[in-house]
Amino acid sequence: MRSNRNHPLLYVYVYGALVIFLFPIFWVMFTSIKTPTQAFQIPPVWFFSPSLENYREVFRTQPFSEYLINSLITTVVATLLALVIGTLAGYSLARFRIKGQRVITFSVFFTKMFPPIVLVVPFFVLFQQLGSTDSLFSLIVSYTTFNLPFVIWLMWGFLKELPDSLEEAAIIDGTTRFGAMWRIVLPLAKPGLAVSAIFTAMNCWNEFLFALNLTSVKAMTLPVMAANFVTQEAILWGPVTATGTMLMIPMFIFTLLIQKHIVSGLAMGAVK
Amino acid sequence: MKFKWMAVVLVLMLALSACASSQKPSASQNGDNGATQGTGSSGGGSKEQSITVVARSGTYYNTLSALAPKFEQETGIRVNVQEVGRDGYLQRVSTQLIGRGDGMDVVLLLNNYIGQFAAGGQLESLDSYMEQYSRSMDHFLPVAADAVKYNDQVYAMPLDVSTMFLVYRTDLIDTPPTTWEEYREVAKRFTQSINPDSPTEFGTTFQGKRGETQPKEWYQYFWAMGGEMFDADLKPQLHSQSGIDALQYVVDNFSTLKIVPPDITTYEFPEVLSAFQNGKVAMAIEWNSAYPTFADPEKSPEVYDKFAIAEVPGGKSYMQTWTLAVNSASKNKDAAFQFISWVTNEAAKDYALAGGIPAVKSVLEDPEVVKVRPEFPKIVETLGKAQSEPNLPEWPLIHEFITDAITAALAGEKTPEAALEEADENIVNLLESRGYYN
Repeated sequence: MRSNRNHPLLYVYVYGALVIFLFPIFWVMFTSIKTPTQAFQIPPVWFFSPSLENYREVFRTQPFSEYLINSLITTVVATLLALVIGTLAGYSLARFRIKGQRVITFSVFFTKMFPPIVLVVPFFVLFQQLGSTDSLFSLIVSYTTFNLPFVIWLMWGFLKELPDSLEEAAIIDGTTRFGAMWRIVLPLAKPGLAVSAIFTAMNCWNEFLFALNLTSVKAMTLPVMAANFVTQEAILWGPVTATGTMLMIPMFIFTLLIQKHIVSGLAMGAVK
Repeated sequence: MKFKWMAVVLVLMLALSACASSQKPSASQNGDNGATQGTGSSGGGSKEQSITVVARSGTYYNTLSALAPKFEQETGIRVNVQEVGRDGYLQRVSTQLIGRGDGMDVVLLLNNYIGQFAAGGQLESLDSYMEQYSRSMDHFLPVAADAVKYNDQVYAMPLDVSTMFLVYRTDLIDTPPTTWEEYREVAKRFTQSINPDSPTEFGTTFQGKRGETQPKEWYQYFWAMGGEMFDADLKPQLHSQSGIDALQYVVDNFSTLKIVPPDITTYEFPEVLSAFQNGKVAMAIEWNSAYPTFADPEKSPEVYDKFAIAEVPGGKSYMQTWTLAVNSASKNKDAAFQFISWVTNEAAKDYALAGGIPAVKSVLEDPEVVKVRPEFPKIVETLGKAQSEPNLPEWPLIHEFITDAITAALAGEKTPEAALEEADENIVNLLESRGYYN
């Protein structure tokens, strides 16, 4: 078995898969530093002096930094909200006997059972009546709702697996139920929290449909801005790829930062 | 205890989100100054008015935002033009119209959506405004003026007319084909799999992407082969010999003869444009708005000096018009009307010079304009005999049925006959349920 682990074919497979997965991303970044004429040359040009013209074009034609701030606020707040509410809900489902538990767990997932586009008009009407269309508030509320089911189910499943005895011991030692959850359970549930955070943040960061329909100008986010480069006459590939490249960076950093918690969590196994 | 904690956390989070949403940054809309001075130079004592216009990014957004400052100068009404990318445009506009949003005052809409939104009450009828400001529709091309009416009332002003042309390479093709049979023969000659000496990989294209333009290109084949969409009793006639022939023709070009690129089911305006621009194909059926791009040496270095336009083979062109309509939920309907009637009349020449194609005949024939836009005489000629879609409120649904049929036939899932039969059935059921046959 041990010798298999370093089998050369394994590396060929892993690197081969990586190349296939990463090539589109590489191509986006690569195109973003080409001039429009270079971008469309067939066969593709591989050697050229890179140009930042596309990035300049993005900043010149669109209020990029304002939309970036919108995207960041929406993503951070919606992710935090979904994590807090989802974890508490998941914890309650895992620990307490609640009347109609099965109905609750099932109905939580109800909103995920039809395509979100069905909800676009109702959501718009709702926010229109609240007087908050084109606001980050409307986006945050929608994103939180859409990500909650996932967080609840994930945390519920995760917390169910942790033995009650740890918390009971803590409560006997004098802390509250919440204290036990905060100090004992959550640190152990880090991997679950990390996975929820990454998925929720990515969903919010890349969300297009609701951002498109619920906003006009003030609350516009980056994915909608990127789509503005798909114009009536042509797809402006340069600015599209430049925006795409810039869009990837924050999520890339975030995932790198969070990733280590997934690993450390998997290594825990301290209880059994 | 735990409930108290949860409550505290929830309240904190809500407060946080409220803070976040209240500090929304102000985005400047049409590139220039975000804030205006308190007192307008014109407009007398009335308080400053502003309207919001939603337009697709590209020509429509660029031209409208270029004209906006001039309108503001003349009337004191500020115009914010917002751009929305091509793909999400109808989605956003429909949502906000149906949701009775008042965030937009003027909407750029394709003429075949007017019926739906006029019948639904989302668009304001313009008749009374036209009377009030003594405006008429006489300066428009008749086909465009008709296309903005629903139930004999005007619901929009035609801003920009579009039709399709045959674009071809003058260095390869001497006389452009005038029938669909000739078109196919020429296309074969320039397809490498049939003629290895061909300088282009494929003869021509088809806008085969399921959705907006695919059926519109197809109608031109259908009409030329003798088809009519409806008979006198409003019964659909797609499943007729002409319909089957026209769809079979397109399917054969694609799957048997392979004279079009293998990925045409992803082709729409931009893809066709770039295929012709890059010398991949020798001909294309393309929207007239591609002309300035083809003629631009910087954007189209390969073809700018060796292409020409001709009438679509068969001579039955499709015509549509992008129109400006007033959202009935708007709070500034009066100012909105003033803007749309100004843009489509007094400003029509500037609009043409800025890159648009106004529906105003005198502008399309204006020598000064034609010097800059040499394709205009051909447009006027084509539009004289062009056809558009019926202005039914159900049209967007019918459009879906037809694009489904074409897509299924192109994919080989159904024969053209079966696909069109199903489309006809769907249309009959829909119109029947709406009471058209009573």
